[in-house]
Amino acid sequence: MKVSSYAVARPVYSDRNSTSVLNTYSAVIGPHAQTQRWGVTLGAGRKATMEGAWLQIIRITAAAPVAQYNISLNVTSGATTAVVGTRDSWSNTTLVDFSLAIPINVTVYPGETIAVATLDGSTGGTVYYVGSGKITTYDA
Amino acid sequence: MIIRLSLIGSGTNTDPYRIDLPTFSGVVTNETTGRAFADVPVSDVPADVVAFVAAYPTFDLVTPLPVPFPQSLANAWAEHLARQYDLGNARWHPVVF
Repeated sequence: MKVSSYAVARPVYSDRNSTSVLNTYSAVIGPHAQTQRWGVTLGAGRKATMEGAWLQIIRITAAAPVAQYNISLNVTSGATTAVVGTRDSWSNTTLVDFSLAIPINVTVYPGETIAVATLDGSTGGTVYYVGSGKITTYDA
Repeated sequence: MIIRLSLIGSGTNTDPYRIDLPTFSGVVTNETTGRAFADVPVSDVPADVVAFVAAYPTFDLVTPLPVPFPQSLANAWAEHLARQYDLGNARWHPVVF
């Protein structure tokens, strides 16, 4: 009787032709529509793992009136988007920190995009945004 | 490398303002003029486009380019990205603007 197995040991992802991608968006800006600030798309034969991310919003100057403002981390596949993490606020109080550390392990597949976007629907005022991520891309 | 590009999208949750590239960072936009600065990996930019960007430097998000971005370069850039990412079709059509 022949016994065989198709389970073949492979190196861990960080040893498969890996590249570390470090992205940070950091700015104090006024009201704006939903806007992507950085993004990483995986080509054929490549995957990625997001190993950690940091999202932060702090209102710097008051709006009149205030509306929703946020920063979000999203994964997009075709026309479908999943929000991996977000920080939202409707507060008009200045210098209040809304932050979120995301010790995540999100796998991104070929053709998918992982991106950070910001939004401020207020009138006037400014907000400090930080959206940072540590990603390792590797052979699928 | 930093390139000034045209914005796409409508600014909604499902269609955010963005640049038409697979990989980018440091996006600064002007929704009124439809222009954005972005940091783009050099490996995603063909040499001819690099030469065009060097020949016509931009310093703000308002002043138009002295000459329009040639369609031949736009086509070459789209084909370069299609080869680079090998995802079946030319998904991206960036335009220096």
